[in-house]
Amino acid sequence: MHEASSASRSENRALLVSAIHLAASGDAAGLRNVYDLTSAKLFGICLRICADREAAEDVLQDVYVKVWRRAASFDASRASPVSWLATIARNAAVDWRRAEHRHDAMPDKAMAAIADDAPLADALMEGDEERRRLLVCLEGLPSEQSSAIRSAFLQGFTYQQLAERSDTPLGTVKSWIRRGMLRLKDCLGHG
Amino acid sequence: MVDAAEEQDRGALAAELALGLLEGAERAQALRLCLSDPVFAREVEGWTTRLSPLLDTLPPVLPSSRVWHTVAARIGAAPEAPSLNRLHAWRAGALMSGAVAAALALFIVLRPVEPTARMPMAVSQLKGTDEAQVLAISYDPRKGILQVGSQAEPGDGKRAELWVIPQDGVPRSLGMMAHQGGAIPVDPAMRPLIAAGATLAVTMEDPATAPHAAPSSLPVMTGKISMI
Repeated sequence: MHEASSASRSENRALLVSAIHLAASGDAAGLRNVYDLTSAKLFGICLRICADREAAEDVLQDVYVKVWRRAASFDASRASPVSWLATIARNAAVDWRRAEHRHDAMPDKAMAAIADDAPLADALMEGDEERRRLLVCLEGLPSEQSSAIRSAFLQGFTYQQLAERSDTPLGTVKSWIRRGMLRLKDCLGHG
Repeated sequence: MVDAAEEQDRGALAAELALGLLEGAERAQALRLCLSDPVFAREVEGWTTRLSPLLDTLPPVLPSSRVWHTVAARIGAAPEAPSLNRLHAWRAGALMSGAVAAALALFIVLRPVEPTARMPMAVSQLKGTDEAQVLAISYDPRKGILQVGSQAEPGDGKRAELWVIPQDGVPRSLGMMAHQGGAIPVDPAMRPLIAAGATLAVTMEDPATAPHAAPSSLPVMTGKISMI
């Protein structure tokens, strides 16, 4: 059972990589395949962060237009296709949240640099192993630290919003995050 | 030279940017640093990579079909992307539509398409990528005839081809469908394949070369067969 699911995962990964390559060659059918394979997953990410269905769909459109434009820069030897796409989706959704609350425009090139210089993930990125280790390390943190990290990453909250939500001084929230991130890095580095 | 305290601040800033905590001027400044300082940019990427497995824990949600239509318009493609002559692409679609079909199966209403039918029948309600698109198909095993509802007429010279995909996952053509619907006689050799649990799928194909050994594009509609 486990073998079968890992075989189908690597088959899906290969399909996704070939669809991204096809899109990179300028073939819209490639993008359509990428969309069919990933839109539900990426929409789940946009929806969680935007917390508004219509806005999340607008962001999702931008995500696939970005994928179309950046497909040629995708490097399968450096990044897992799913985490490359998930990162573009998350960045776009966070960007929408920031733009929604304040209108100082983000330097667009900088956002592009982040997603284009894609995650330095190795081939295991989609494996359960990576996720398991991350979750174990997060659970090892004091609960206020891990929940602040999760809320920031998965819901797009700013320091200010985290402080308001937990009814905690801003400085305390900052120190939760900074300590938590240092310990997390340590745990992942040596786990 | 960057001293230790500054390096630590940089590290914290990279983590904060990757987490999306910064806003306004701080965020703009950190983003500029990404452009000017490759070491900092790599640090941000490192964090994004470490945290990205968390994104896997979010449940997938199907977006509405308007998303693809808008994307297609923005990249200058036809809304239904041109076909892809590769079987593995079909399989990708079939895998995906397997998941979609499983979700849509909840919406299938098990009732005879023709109320007068008395004999056991197979029905399938196919749902398209556009939610508004629903196609009812019934099958009379006595006569070996499929009754197909009407569908929108495609404008690109292609026509809808109906496929049955049994448990082995290999699609077999049941023939082309007229957009106004009607009866499709099923080849006797294919009849046993039209059974509960098999999937019906529709792809858009060139009518001149039909029937085809394999689909050339992703399905536009899929549905499971139920016996009633």
